[in-house]
Amino acid sequence: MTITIALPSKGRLKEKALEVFAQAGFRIELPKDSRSYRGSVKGRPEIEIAFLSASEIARELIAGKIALGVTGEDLARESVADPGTFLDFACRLGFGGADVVVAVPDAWADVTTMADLDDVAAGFRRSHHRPLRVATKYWQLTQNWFADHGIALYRIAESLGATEGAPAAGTADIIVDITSTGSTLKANHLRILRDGIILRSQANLIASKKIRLSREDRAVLKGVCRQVAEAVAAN
Amino acid sequence: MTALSQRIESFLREKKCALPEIGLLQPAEPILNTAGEDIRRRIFITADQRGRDLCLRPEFTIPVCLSHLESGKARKRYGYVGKVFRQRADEPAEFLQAGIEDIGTEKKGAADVRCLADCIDLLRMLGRNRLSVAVGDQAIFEAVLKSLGLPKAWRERLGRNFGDSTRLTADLDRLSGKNNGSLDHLAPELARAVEAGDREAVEKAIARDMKKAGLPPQSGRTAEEIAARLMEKAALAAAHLVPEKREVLEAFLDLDMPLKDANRRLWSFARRANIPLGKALEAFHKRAVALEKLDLDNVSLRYRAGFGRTLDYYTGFVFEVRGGSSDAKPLAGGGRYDRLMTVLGSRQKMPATGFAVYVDRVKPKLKETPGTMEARP
Repeated sequence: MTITIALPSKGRLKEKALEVFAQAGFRIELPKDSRSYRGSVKGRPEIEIAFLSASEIARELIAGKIALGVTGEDLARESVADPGTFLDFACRLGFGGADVVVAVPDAWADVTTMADLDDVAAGFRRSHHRPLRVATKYWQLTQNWFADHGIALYRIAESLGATEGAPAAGTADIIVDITSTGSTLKANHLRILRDGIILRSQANLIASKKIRLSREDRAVLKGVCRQVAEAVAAN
Repeated sequence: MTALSQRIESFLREKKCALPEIGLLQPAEPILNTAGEDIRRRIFITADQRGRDLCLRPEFTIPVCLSHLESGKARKRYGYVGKVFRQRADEPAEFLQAGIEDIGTEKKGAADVRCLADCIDLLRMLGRNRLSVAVGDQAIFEAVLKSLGLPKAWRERLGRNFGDSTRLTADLDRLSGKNNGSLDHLAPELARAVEAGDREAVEKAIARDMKKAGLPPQSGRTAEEIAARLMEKAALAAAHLVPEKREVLEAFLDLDMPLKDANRRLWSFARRANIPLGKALEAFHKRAVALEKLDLDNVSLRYRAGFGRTLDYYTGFVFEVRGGSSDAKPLAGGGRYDRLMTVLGSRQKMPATGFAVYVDRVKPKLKETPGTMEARP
């Protein structure tokens, strides 16, 4: 039997993931054929590596098609309404850090908190004959966060790129987006609300709760999680 | 159509309601715009080939109101019965609803009474005789807030969360704390203008920031709007809800009594708290008297001061009917939604009230009536 671990297929996330796994004692051998997306672990034939895009990894974990994966917490939490029943967030990996935040135009000098936003959203329809619009690709996170703050009267304007430009483009009033340094937001004259950090995300090692594993495979999975967690802690 | 639906339709005709044709597929836009983004998770959305969002009819009120607007009529009563579709935690997503919407009737008190009376009649027709009804009234709460002299911004916030005790308590906590809105993030120039109460300078500074950010001047919030709220916030920054007023509010929200005692108890509450509730109470009293005159055999009516609906287009009288007071889920609910028609695009204000019965929860046992078939659910 084998278990499949999915790692990001490109970029910094891939490099960092390989690094952490190497520190944990797993030497991952990359596919010889550059078009192949399968790898292996030296001396561990019971483990198979799949290189997938970060969002695909989240989906495959939720579907129970792979046992273990490395992906951003934001993507994992965004991909399903109740992540806790599908995913086991085994360990934070210490890289790929970024925050999912609520940001408003800096010119909205009267809005500094979610409570302010609640007031503004409630009065918005009366003065503008439409609800407040939020540009985001994070539907789930936004809906949960706004519901937690009692804000119901708004609409999501889906944005699949350059979300920070939506207020100036007039396609939305405010945004929910991911930011690591905040400089893009600043350059677009947007300001994060004081209590507007929805999620402090980073790369996570995540196990699927939906996959059926034999007892041996389950033990392998636990071993991998433990070794990776120890390597991260030692860093 | 089932015999049950037929029986309900003839009941609605006897009540002199028009029965408009409401499609199973409805445009999603007006529903999402009215109820907010949160409802997206509870309805079934699909799209047609042109990319227009459609949903399976999640309720009847909004479609009925839209068809009324389209008809151009001033006033009319509508009845409906049919399947609605909503994702619910522990009940089927497809269920039968029936109800009446009364749009444009200016005599609000009489319309409220008729609405509840028709609702009770329908439940009785479906075989439910023992009923307990809870009623509430947002207008009384708003009158209390006003007579306590609370600032408009606070009244709006509290009014919006009326009916949700958790949220309301959180609001009260926040308003009771000091420093409700700090202004230390403002650029020095803007802060000075706010402090000096120079509205024009504040507006100018904000307009400049908007321009710098390239915000389109035609859509979204205006500099004027932002300045007004900023000044208001600054004026309230140091204010907080004093304990005496909070006590009055909490005592009010705790009121819960048989409706026939409500008028007397509200009067004595107002007298003790020293707040004038005259006008709002008059309307409440008249309606309560009329309600008590209905045939209320086996029906208990209670007034709960804190009972309301959090949707912002509900404005006044609301009610909920249960089979026994311990039933977890109501068999029917209704209320006055005077703000909905303008939200849906009506130029004139149009009073409206209505109710919906969850027919599946009622588990109907129809009585044999002349000329109709006996139906099984």
